[in-house]
Amino acid sequence: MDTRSFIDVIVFVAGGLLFPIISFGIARLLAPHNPTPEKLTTYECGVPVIGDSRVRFPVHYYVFALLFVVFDVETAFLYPWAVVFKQLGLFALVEALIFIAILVVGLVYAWKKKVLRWV
Amino acid sequence: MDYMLILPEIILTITGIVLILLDLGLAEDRKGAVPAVAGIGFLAALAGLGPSVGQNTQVLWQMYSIDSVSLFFRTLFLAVGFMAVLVSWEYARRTKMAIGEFYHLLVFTTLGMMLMASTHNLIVIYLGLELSSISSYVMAGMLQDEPRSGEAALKYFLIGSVASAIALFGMSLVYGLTGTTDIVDAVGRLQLAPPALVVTAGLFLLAGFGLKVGMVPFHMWIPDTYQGAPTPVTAFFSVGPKAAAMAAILRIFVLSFLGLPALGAGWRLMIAVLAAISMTFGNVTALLQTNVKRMLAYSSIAHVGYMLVGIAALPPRDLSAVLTYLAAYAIMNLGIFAVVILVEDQGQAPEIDAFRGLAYRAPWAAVAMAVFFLSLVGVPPTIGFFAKLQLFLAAVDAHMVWLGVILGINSAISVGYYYSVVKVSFLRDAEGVPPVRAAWTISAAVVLLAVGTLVAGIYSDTILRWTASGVTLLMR
Amino acid sequence: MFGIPEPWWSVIRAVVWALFIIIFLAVNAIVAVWLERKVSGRIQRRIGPQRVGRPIGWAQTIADVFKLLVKEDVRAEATDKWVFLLAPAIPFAAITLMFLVVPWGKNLIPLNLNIGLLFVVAVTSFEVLGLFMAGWGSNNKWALLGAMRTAAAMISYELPMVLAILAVGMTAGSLNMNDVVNAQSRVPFILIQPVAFLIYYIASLAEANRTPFDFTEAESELVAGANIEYSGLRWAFFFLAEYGSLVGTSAIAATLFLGGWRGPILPGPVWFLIKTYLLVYVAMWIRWTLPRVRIDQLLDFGWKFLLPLALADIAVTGIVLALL
Repeated sequence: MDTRSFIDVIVFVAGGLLFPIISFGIARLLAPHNPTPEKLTTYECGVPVIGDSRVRFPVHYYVFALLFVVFDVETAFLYPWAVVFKQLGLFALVEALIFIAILVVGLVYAWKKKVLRWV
Repeated sequence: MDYMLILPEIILTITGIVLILLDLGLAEDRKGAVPAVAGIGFLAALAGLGPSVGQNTQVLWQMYSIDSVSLFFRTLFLAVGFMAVLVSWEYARRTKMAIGEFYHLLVFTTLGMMLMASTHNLIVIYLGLELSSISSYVMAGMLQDEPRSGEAALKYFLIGSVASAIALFGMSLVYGLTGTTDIVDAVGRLQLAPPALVVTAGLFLLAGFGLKVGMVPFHMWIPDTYQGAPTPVTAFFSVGPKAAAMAAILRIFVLSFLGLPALGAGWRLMIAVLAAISMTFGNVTALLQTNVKRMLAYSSIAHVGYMLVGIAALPPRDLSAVLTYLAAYAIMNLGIFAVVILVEDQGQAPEIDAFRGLAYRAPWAAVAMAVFFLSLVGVPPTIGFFAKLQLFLAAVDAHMVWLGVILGINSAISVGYYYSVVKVSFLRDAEGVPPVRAAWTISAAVVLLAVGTLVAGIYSDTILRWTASGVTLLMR
Repeated sequence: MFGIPEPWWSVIRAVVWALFIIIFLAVNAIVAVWLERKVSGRIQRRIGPQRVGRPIGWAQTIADVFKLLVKEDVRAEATDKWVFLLAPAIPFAAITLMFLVVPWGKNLIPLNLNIGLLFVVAVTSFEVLGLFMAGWGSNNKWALLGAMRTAAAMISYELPMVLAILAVGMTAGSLNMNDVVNAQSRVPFILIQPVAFLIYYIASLAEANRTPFDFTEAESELVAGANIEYSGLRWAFFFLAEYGSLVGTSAIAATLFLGGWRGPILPGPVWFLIKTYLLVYVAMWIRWTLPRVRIDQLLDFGWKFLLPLALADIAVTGIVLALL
């Protein structure tokens, strides 16, 4: 990557973050501000808040996250292959197909072991 | 062609995938076929080593070395994997472990270890390290109903991932300093790099792989993990991943860090001191244990210390002392664990007391156990003696007589705890202990390994020559 | 150029583009919200907004913006201050960054990155981070539940989407957005890769949190989901980002599958906008036609149907390309 790419990315990130933040600043100047204790309670359909909201979550969410990491890394490996795919020819194709086949075995494994079932 | 030379790896990969599919496809009561397939896979992979014999080349874009050192390690790992199948067969059935998972994890761990030992590219070493580590974390926790097994897995996982991270950081430093991940290429450029950074990189690598082999001061996870994990897994851990990490240390340190003139002497001394502390700590602590698995865990720390003697003594002598010791240790340690599993298969916890009267319950097993212990201590004519002798001679050649003396003293200390087990099995009667009913697999493993310990001792010359041939090459 | 030394010229160029994209996204939100109201009205046999800015209610959303600007910005006591305050900015920044590599016309592209497709895939994932920050920072049960569901949905649909984009990259033989558009000079990829297009479009609905996959909001079950504790302009920014995300994924779909800015007679940017808003319209049509699916149905569909289908698509694409 040349310097220009970096400049562009940095400018876009800065712009994307600054626009909301500046807008919030403007809103702060325009909007009224009079907090009352009632207003500052957490919303829970109008009834008093019960317990903490940061409770333990079902493990399924994390299992999906774990599976995602595996597959996402694997797909990231396919990207470089896709670019030079035409130059490498049949050999690379067969290798990639083996790679995908192993991925599929992983998916089938998770599926059969009922990891993908949302109870 | 390249693919013939990596045939064992290909066979193992296919075996692993077949095992996964078998695990999914077979009904619960037909899972007995799974270990058989794994065993056949290991044997086929051993046969697949054929084309690699006598080769000395680099395949797969210079990333994979096929030389006699890698041949040595690949043979060792495949044999260890096969033995692990034998010793776990009955155990897995009895404890209702998840058989499908266990055997494909075993296959993939072995594959990872082979990757680690047959390359001098840091990336591939790391790849193998992760493949073998991640599979083995799960293997340690295979007994789902045992809290201890879970504890073992968690400790192994936490320590192991820290170790991987540290090793990776060291590798990235080497890459940053040299611009290459190939150790052979890196050596020359490391000499030009700032010494402080080279030392840092070396320390990170040593710490990372030191955690994996479990040398002092990175040994703290060993006792809990070895005690909690299922015994066949412990048997496998104590020789397989340990040897793989040792192979990585050999490749990285022997090739680069110990070769650097500015650092060589200091590193040797440091490793020598660590070796002395490892063996003394391991042996003395083992004296206090009543659980045989835990005792053997401490003993394994001591044995890592012995192996480090060979590395500390390296420059004047060759690698063959370390390699011979690794092979000897694999045979005798697997053997002693096989006996422990045999006793456990009778439904007893692996306390020393469980060995009561073993000589009357199963004389052949008791004799085999005695052979393994003699070998672990280093008594002739077992293989342990010849291997330890090589280490001693290496230390003397390197003008580290003090290290040799410590080695000898430690061997004497180790008699203390090994004897405590032998004593109860020969001198106490078997009253109130059930008679031994051994499955053929475990008996075969015990007998094979006992014969190996004796015969290999007698033919130790051949082993020496074989290991020595690869060494010149690794040393260049 | 123009006597300005090189690094500064690049900076000025980047700033101009960034301002353009930000203004475009702001205007887009105003237009798209109005469009959504009109479309939903028509689909439900209503008229939709019409009083403010007669006769079609064109000024309704503009009035809403001013209303939101002067609304009180309440932050409940239990919230995690900085996480809560900054969360609305993250999705917007992610969308802005996504447009960095989208071509508007011949040589009209903020940055002609040679890994454009990968870049798109990488930055779209940031959006979920902002939503999750909002859910976590709010310290509210509904918000956290909404955020968790969104995260689960987004990561599940990320995979088929990434694979569908990969299929396009393989067909074009490049990850550069310009090359992808140029490769479609004769036939748009929707005809060559119809399966990939469908996978991408469905997954992009989930990525943009649109019905039938709108778990962030889910008014009827989670009250409002991740943005429940927000009010005023901060709340508005979630919607700005949501509609930005809708137009962003539509723009990517238009570029990858419909030939981007290519088209007869009309200039490039016009074609680009026509194609993009056509897809935006389809998304709205879907929203007001289909009910919301359950979270388990959503994940099942993603993992057990779309992902295998996408993998098969990659394999078939590879084989066909190798045989050609």
